[in-house]
This record gives sequence, C-alpha cells and structure tokens, in this order.
Amino acid sequence: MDNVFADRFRREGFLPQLGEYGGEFAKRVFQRKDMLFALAALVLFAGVALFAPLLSPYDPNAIDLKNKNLGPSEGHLLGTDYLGRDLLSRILIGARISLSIAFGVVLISLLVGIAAGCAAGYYGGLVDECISRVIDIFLSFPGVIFALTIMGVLGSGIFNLMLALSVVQWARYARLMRGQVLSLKKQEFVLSAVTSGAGDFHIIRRHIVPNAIAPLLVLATIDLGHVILSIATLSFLGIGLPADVPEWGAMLSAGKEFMRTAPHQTIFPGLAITFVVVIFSILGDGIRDILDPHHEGGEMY
Amino acid sequence: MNLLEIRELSVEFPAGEGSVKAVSRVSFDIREGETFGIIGESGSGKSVVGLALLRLLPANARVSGNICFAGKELFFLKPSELRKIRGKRISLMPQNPAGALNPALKNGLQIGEVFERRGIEKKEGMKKALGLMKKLFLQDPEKLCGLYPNQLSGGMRQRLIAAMSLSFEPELLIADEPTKGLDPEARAGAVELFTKIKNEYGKTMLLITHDLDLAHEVCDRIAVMYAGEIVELDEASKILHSPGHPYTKGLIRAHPRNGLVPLSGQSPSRIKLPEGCFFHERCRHAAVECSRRHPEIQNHKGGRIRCHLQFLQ
Repeated sequence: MDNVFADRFRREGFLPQLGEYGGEFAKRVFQRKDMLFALAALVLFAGVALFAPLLSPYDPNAIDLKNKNLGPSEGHLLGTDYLGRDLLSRILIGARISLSIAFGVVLISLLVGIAAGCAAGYYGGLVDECISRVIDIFLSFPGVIFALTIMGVLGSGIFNLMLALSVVQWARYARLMRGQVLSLKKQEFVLSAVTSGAGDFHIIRRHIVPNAIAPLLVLATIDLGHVILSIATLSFLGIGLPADVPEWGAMLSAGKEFMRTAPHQTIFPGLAITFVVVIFSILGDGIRDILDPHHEGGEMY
Repeated sequence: MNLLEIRELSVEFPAGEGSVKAVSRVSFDIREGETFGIIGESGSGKSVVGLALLRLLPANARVSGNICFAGKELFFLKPSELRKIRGKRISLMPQNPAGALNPALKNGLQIGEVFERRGIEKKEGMKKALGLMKKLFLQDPEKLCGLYPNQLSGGMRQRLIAAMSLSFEPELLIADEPTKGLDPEARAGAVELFTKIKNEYGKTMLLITHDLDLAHEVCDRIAVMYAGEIVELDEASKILHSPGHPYTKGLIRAHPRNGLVPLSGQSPSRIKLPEGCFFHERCRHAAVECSRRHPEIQNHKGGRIRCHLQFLQ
C-alpha cells in the first residue's frame, strides 16, 4: 500500500525511486499519515525558526508598559506579556533558540555516547568496566537536578545550558551503543573483517557504527522533544537562560504570575512546547516502527 | 615443502572449576599446493583449530603449542605483523555466508574495502575482483556490486565471499564449513566452486567440514578429529574408502549413502575426558587395553592413526 502523496512526489522526482534502501525508508514514511503530518509540522517549525526575525511583527524584547497583559487582538495576535512584549514575536524567536539548543545537545550527546559506547563494547575488559561505571554514575542522578547543579556552577547562558544537558543525556546513548556493539562484535562480518586484516578503528567505523546506529537515531529523535522540555523546565525554574532571551519555559514561568488575569501568557508558550514535543515523539515512534524489522509498522491508524 | 606446520596445538576454555579441552595436542602439516581437510562431528574441535591459526580465539582461551606458517611462528607475532598476514597471506572463509557480509553496506563497497585497506589502487583491485567473480560463476558482477547482501541468495553470497577471500591471492585459504546450511543444489555448486578454486588457482587450502562428499571431491589429505584429537590422518581416498580407525568407519557408515547407521552413544564430556582411548565407550571393537591406556598417534600403512587395535591385531 502506497499513498497518494508518495506517488505524486515520486513522479515529480522529489522522492528517490523505489528499490534503494533510502527510497524504501521514504516510502514507509509517506505511508504513515501521522509521520507525514509530523514531518510537515516539523518543516514548518524549522522554517519559522529559521526566518523568525523576518516573520515576527515586533521586536521580541521591546517593552511597552502601556499595553501590558493584553489578550489576543488584531495588533498583537497572541497578546502581550506583563511587560507589554509581543507574545507571537517571542514565541517565534523562542522556537529558534529551543530547536537549536535541542539539536546541539542531542548532537553532542550522540557523538560522545557513540564514542564511549563503542570503546566500552568493543574493547571490553577494564575499559568496559571503567566506562560502564562512569555511565552508571551519570545515570544514577535525576536529570533535572543534575543539570541544575551544573548550571548553578557554570552560570546561565546558551552554551552552558547545552553543556549541562549534554552531560545529563550522553550516558543513555553510551549505554545503548554499548549493548549494540556487544551483540554486533560477535557477528561473522566483523570476524571476517578481522580475518581480512582490518584495524579496530576501521571495523568500528565501517562495520559496527552503521549497523548499530538505528536505535540511537530513534532515541535521539524522541530525545529532541525531551531536551526541549528540559530547557523549558530549567528556564521555568529560573536558572536556564538570561531574562532577555525569549525562551518558552521562561515565558511560562513569567506568565504563571498572571494566570488568573491573563491566562494566554501561559497557554501559548505551553502549546508551542507541547507541539514540538509531540512532533518529535511521533517521528521517533514512526522511525522505530520502520527500522524495527520485527514490527510491521505503518498500519497503526 | 610444508607451508604450515602445527605442533602439539592444545586449546582449553575455562569452564567453572575445570576447563573444556577443545583441542588436545593436534599436530599436522599442510604442504604447499595441497588441499587438506579436517572432518569430524560437531564439537570435535575442527573450527577451533581454524580459528587458532589466525589467532581469532576469544581472550579466555588457553592455547599452547606451535604454529609455524612459512617459517614464522604465528603465536609470537606482534598484532601489527599479524594484521599483515591476516587476509593477505592467510584468509578465512567464514562459516556462515549469510552473516559474513555487512548488511548495511552495498556489496561493491565491501569488496572494494579489502583493497582499500591494502593501499592497492581501488579501480585495479575491483577489476580483478570482478574478473574473479565472473570466474566463480557469478553472472553480471557489476550489477551485484550495487545491491545489498540481503538481495543475494545464499550461494551467491558464498561465491562473493570466496571472491573476496581469493582477491588477495592468499597463500593459505581456510574454509570453515563452506557447505553448512546450503541446500543440495547450492551444495553441489559449492563443490564445483572449490574444485575450481583448487584447479585454477592451485591454492593451498584447509577445508574444515563434516561434509564427506565435499571432502572426497576436493581434499588431497584428510585428518579425522574426535574429541579434540586427530584420530586418523591419511590420503583422502584411503580415509574414505578403507578407513582404519573405528570412529572413521562409523562416520562413513553414518553417511546416508552408506546406510545411515548411527554411531551409538555420545562423544565424551570434554571437561572430564575418559581414561584410555576417548572413543572406547562407543567402539564396537574395544578391548581391555583401550580403557586403560590412551593410544598415541602412530604411523601405520603410510598414514597416521590413533588406535590400539591396529597394532594388537
């Protein structure tokens, strides 16, 4: 079963022809309407984030105390906050910050996790023991509290926030990668690479990582949503980003004071967070279904 | 001229309090240009010998003895020197062709990789590999290179692996159970393949198998292994037509063509080996001597055999 979108896109050459691995993947994505929807929404969000300075009607930091706590109106589509700043502009610019931090954190933890997991799984023995214990230590702290501590030491700022969240996240990737490598290194194609004289690094890069990466990519996709939530949580607690950076969690936090008189100040940033998290969850679930050969995905809805 | 000399090779794996004696005091030579077969039932230690040759055994294995390849002691080589021998001078055709190709890479990339690693011009190497693939009855090799391993049949994968392992013209090719899990037709193809490799390339081969037909077609000399030991070693035709050791006789009688007569009993525990001959509990000719003294391998009628009976009679 294919669907209309996929057929049309393929005819127009947007999609690779079937038969190739990538084409197969794209076909399965297009079969699932939920993923198609989430993908479209993600592209929309990414576009908005990219062009936010052009799209936003006001300066997100322009204070206008005469118009504070306004509800949605023609002048301000989503209303204004307690300092009279335009909420729509702040949410648009905020998308940019949230998405870029989330991608940065996931990228850093993915890279560190893959490196650590490969080393632990492939070399085993003492290396494995050491790395695994470090992973255990990092996994034993509750994430937000750990990030709070690091932020408390480092001070607020976009880079520090990325660093703090990466420190919290990487261990999960490392553990997953280690398990993957452990099962892969016993496979015959790894053995035959060894017999043909390949070095360790070559085997890891060529044979182990490409076969182990799928579950990590699923985790990374779902994690993008989690990281956005964590950023919001930290900002809500007042330790994430400086006050002048428009960020969804900080906006929620500021809006909660006026929950009774101007609920839109919490509703709209909250909706934005929810949307992004749901989009990444759907994408992550979908990718898992497609990449998991034991589970025929696609006909869930 | 011996290309490979194995002396007193023993391999043990620690297990609980004792240890599993997978291979005990195996010695044999492989002459240059010959095809040497190792046959025996599952778990007789055949594959362990093959893996020991390339030092591919797990780290917990306790290995003793000497393996001398073209005048070099394999057990004393540094890892970097060992890597130069692996693949280039000794190559191993793995047991299971389905698992030996990386499912995430296209075939062409995997073949090219072998050359890449050796610093040989990739185009030249590929040309050679394509020629080899054609010779090994693979049609349209260029097209195969663009496909993934899962798009090939078992026999095709095996030939692809054969082409990969031959593309470096190794001095010694080790084939570990090349017909395992193949249907009769693909098996016949494999026999044809090995005959062809043998005749056209004149490679020295070590063939580890429990497929007596394949061994008969391809091998020049055969060693029969039982419970980690070589029990008989002779010319292939002599072993298969007039076996001397009772175990070899039983193995040949168990072949479907020869009446499918099973050997009674099971091979002994390898943690606690029986006293005397390891085979005496299952041997229909066993004498008192057999349960007392472990027989040494001795020359007998041009071959070597490990049995008291040959000398008692």
